[in-house]
Amino acid sequence: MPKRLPSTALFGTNSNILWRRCLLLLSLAIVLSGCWYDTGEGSARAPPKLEKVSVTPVAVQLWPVSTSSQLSAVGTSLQGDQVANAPSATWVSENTSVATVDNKGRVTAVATGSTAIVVTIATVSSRVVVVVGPTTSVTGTIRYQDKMYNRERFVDTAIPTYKAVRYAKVDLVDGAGAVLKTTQTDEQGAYLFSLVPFASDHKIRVMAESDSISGMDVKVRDDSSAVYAVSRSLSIIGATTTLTVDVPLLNSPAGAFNIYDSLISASQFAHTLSGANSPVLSVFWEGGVASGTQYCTGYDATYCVHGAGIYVNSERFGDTDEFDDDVLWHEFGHFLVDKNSRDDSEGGCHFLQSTDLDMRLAWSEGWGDFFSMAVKRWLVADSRRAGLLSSTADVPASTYIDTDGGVVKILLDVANVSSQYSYATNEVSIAKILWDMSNEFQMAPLWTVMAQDFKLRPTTSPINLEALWDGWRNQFNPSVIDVGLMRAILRARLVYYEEDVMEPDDSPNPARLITIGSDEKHTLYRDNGSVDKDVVAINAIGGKSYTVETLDLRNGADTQLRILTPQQVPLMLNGVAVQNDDFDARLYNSYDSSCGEFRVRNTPTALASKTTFVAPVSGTYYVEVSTTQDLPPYASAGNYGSYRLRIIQQ
Amino acid sequence: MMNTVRSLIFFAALVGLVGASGSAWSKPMSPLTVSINSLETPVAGKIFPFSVTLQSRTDFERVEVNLDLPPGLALLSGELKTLIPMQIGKPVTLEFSAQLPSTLTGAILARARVGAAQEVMFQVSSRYELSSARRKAQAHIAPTNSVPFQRKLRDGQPIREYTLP
Repeated sequence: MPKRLPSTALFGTNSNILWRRCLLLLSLAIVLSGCWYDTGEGSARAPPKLEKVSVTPVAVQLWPVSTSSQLSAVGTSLQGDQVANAPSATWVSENTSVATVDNKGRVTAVATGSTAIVVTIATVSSRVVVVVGPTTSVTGTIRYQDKMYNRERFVDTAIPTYKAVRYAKVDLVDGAGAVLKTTQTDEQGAYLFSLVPFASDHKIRVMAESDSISGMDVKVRDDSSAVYAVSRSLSIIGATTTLTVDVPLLNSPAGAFNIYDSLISASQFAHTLSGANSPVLSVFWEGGVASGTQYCTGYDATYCVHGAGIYVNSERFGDTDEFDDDVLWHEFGHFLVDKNSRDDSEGGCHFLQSTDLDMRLAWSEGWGDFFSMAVKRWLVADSRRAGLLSSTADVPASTYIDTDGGVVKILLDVANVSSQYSYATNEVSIAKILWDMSNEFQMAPLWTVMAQDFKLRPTTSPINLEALWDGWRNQFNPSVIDVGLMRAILRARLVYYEEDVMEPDDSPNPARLITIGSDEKHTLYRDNGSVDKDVVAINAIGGKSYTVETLDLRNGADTQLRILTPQQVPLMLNGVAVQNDDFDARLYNSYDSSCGEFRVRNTPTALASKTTFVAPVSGTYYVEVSTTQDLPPYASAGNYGSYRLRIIQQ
Repeated sequence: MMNTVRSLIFFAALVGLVGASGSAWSKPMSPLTVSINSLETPVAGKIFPFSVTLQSRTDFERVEVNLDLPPGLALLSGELKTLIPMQIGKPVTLEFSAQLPSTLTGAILARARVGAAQEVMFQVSSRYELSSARRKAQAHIAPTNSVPFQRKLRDGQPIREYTLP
């Protein structure tokens, strides 16, 4: 992930540095601005230079013939300051058979058509379009053909499903290709151009791009960064001209408009969370480009050749996603978090069944899976929006679907997932937890934690399920938000952010004896926020060998252990303390042939601890297990988690 | 020796770090893959041996494999529907032979499916076109490029415009 420059890097980390830099910038500004002043007079600013001709009105429509209109022109600088004592303007019509202009700028209609008046002051010119003819209004609806899907495949409906192209830029273009007017469609895909002159060679052009004033800023581009557009010609005659533009599946880029529409829905949903308009989102879609579908935070030579944005390309084996709304919403979920929250995932390939994902990746992708369901749930909740769905009625909102070749390739319904999908290291488990949480508490508190607490979390504490739990506890009074209910939701996925029954066991206690050969299950968690230690006692026989190990590490647990003597000091053998952190940490980053890349894996053994020692004398020894974050830079584990402790006598 | 092993492990980890596509947050991948292969070129009217190979990156107790055949093709050996267990990293290959029709049209379709549609389901397919021309065409699918469009500038920004009839 390209590293983002911290804001403090530009301005320093304290007000002193900021103040000094402000002084420096001010000094520089004064020196530079001196160039603009006439030093002979001391304070007089140089007169503006003629660089532009501004004409009003900027366009003229005349009807009937012989009607006239007065134009006026002034010479200005680029900043718009009027130039005093500028020469008089000269006026020339490009086509006097359509309209003439006199030397004072009065334009007179001659015959139906369009032309331009060229205004020149000194050597600078400007051009005003003049249209002679009657006017009308052009209205209509813009729609695209969608593909509906059920739990098995895209369904063939007898009547094609057309949906509105909402909030898209629409141009009225004349026969020469000039844009005469621009507007945008509304929620129903309707557009309106008024005061349009009669013409027979115009066209309506719709872009797969929203107008930012709508609060959504989505652009769907091809692999050369060109925005997709479709156009249809029209003849403008009569009181009102109506033109419906339908973008069909065949022989047109309907896929671009489905991508666009899906992300407009996602933007609208995001607006309900943050109350803010979405930042600019570029989406790149190109047939035949097999670099997969992903959200990129920045440039990458393989996957993200145009920089940040969502890339909707096929996989090596041909899977395309332009009609897979759930996949598009999954990627929008990443975009939303990147712009409004924090995500520490390194990305890379991932599978729904993996219970050994790096915790950051599991969180990030679980959020993406959940987000698509949350958008769908929001659409379903209001009958006015339900028509925007592409899934049939038998597909519940809790479902994520990815199709390939017209049939469903991956289906996930989190409402019904088994305990196979558990732990903070599994993305389905995360999605399920978020789904249940948002059903119980609504989206608002969840998003509050993500948008506020995540950004305040120290960079040394990665964003994962623990961040949600910590933020939740920081943000909300437990009496207001039911912590017990939250814990029940987590427990159902075998995530235990709660003290085990052995607590408090942070210090040596001879009474906390563990039977040699048995094992105990612990959680690394203290309600008071302190770092948990679990200490058990063993009665060891002098001269006997013992193996102590942590097993079955779950939910990101990273243990370290050490042995304490009966005197409760670290056991030293041959001058070395008997202790261990990661017994076989090389398992943490291993090559995954399915992905073709190395992957950080949070397996039950990768960060486990193990040591063997011979008791020097008989007595009660202590095994102390605690959590550690002593990992290589690429790795990440949790502060909490669970494990089993086993002690064997050889 | 141990130091050498540790160095190799460190190097491997470093390569993994550098080689990872860190800037891309992608969609979930399917754990199953299926492919149809044959060492022979289909000849009309002849016997055509082919195989279906499945791979999985997780253990599945039961994967359902279905074969859809084009009209006129007669299966001589192998089953149209097979239930097999899959293990991580252990590909399974199913062998088939078929009597090809007198005209090579249509395609053999192999589908592998696991899981229930009420919870989590994975389904993958592979298509083998009998006609060599269609096999070549299939390898170069670029649907949006096959439709004429014009590149233009709009407010100085490039657009890709399709003209509807």
